[in-house]
Amino acid sequence: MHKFKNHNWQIGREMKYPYEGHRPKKQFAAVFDTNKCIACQTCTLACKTTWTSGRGQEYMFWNNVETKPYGGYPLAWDMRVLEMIGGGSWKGKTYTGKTIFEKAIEERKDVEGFLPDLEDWAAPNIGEDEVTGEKMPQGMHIKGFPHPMWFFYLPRICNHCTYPACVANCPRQAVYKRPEDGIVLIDQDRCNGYKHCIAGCPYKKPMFNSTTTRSEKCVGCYPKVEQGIQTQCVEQCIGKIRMQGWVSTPEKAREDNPMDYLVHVRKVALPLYPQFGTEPNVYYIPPIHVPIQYLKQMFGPGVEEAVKIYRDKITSDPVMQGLLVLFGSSPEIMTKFKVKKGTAFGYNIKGKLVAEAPIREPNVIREAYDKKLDVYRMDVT
Amino acid sequence: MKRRILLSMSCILLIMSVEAVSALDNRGIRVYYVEQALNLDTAADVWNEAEPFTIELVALESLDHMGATHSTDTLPKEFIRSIPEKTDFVLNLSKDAPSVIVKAVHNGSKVAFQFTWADSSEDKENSLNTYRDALAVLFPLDISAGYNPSPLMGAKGEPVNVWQWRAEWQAELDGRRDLEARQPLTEGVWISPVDRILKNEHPGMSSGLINTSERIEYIAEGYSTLTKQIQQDVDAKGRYRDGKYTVVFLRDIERTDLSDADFKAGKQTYINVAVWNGHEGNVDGMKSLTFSWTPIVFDPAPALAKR
Repeated sequence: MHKFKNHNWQIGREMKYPYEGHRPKKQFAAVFDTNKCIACQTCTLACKTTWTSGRGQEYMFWNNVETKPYGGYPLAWDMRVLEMIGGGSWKGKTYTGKTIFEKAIEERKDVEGFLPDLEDWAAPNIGEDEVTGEKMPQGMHIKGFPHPMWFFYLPRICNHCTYPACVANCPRQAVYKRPEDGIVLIDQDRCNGYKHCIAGCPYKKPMFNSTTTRSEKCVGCYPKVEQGIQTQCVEQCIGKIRMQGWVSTPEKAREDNPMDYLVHVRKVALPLYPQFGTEPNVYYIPPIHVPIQYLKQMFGPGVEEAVKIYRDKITSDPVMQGLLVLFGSSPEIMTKFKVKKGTAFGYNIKGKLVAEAPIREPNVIREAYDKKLDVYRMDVT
Repeated sequence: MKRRILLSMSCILLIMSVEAVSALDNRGIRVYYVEQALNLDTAADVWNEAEPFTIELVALESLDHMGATHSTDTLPKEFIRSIPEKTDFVLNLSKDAPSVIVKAVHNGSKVAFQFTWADSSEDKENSLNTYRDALAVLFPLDISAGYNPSPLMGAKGEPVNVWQWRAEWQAELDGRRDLEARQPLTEGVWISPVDRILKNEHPGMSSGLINTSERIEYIAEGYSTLTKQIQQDVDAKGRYRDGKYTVVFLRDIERTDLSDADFKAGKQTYINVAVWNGHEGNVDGMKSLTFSWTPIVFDPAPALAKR
């Protein structure tokens, strides 16, 4: 059952998993900046029209954006799993609680999880845009961080985990992790529609197609990624909150790799619920206005430092500023970047320059009156 | 991650072995020789020519209850704790399991099997929170010395030939699938023509059910190895009427690939049967089955005997 001990750097220790860990040649990863997300759902629609427009896929959103703390697609996906593993605690950077695999051992299972009901998927984003926190008396003024009342948007795709629970829970080995790029896929020919992958995945990103009677999941836009182009949800993001690339393990981190810089060097981007134990590979820059306790539960013990860096230290860090303006600056996957004299440069895997962005846009003020056309302009800046 | 079934109760083993021995002595399924064409008609007159044989199934209980409506609540906690870690399923003798009535005929060139069992509901949709009915039979590939595959999905190096009929495939073939039942609230939701265009342009690429509905025949070498055969040599048809399922399988007696069971007129081989009850949340290894092979003996074919 859980024969193999594998190292999970996100929880700072060894962890039991049903298969021997083989890290892929390169690992699919993405960084989402939650501070910039406005829940416009352009990513959701980009994904929907590309991948899930068929019969049987009506309810599917491989990419979704939900409002925290109340939202969840499917309903309460995260709270239910947290409850099942018993909360869990951290000692420094080491997780001392149980992962979904360790909890499962106690119960004679492969993975601890649950299969959501039909209704749980049925109403994404309905009634979730509500603030939480202290009372807000009339005339109250919010001073500083964190905010006394808050909510934030959490965009989600498949995490293409290093130790996927969907893989662990499929008795037929129909779910697999590609050795070349770490993308996790379901072999439609081998899938027999048991729905164990859905029950196992703590992020609930495999979804069941009742028409084909097989499970489907986010495919990491692999046909694009194979061409060196970022996924649909990343490329189409109008808020430029996303960047996709390849993440290394901490000891092999490269400072000029955008993913490594954010995840390992500055440690400003953190995994979503690392305590589940799957080593998810979509990393989040946490929202700086949210109380730290809630963020710790969601992003692990590194969150306090990450918030501090993003909130206070970015202003004196031109490299980080540069990297953040490269988000959404090219459809191509940038495997290397550099920042020089106020400009950020992004390079693709062949070393070709694919993005060049100024940290500060030049400020041009035009005359209000245009002599040539004899008109007055309102848009002078 | 091998799925294992625990036979912890010695009384069960005893009952089973007695049953197996008596079956070998005098009770096997006779494949009656008939001189007429065989087809997939579940109610054809030819079935009057064969005597029925009843196989009693026993129910398995999944210890890993997520993903199905059943749960381990029916099993005492002390019992679950006493089970070795690698066990995923246990026998549950207190649970109802169907009796499958088997009839078999051959005409020298084709062989047909008819399976009938009672099921109080027709469950033909495998959807988010529902499961479908199904029947599977398995045969050893060959009968030869030293080749002794497990009646539970075979074993490594000792493959078995599996034929499976599923209620949702039949419903798809018959045009009887119910969108409202499987996806409530999506009836009338507009579906982009892109889906239809792509499926028409790339028929082989489609994951649509209809393209795989003819896939009945599998090969397996133990749990979790069930694999569809590229060359499909078996036809099947099922009907649900008056609280009973009747399923007919049809195949040429002579096999055309070595992944298929070896049938010969006048010879004996073995069969095992499993039934899934969708209403009970049966899925994957959670099903009713037997733990022993039942012999099947083919009548000699006169035409072949003359040669």
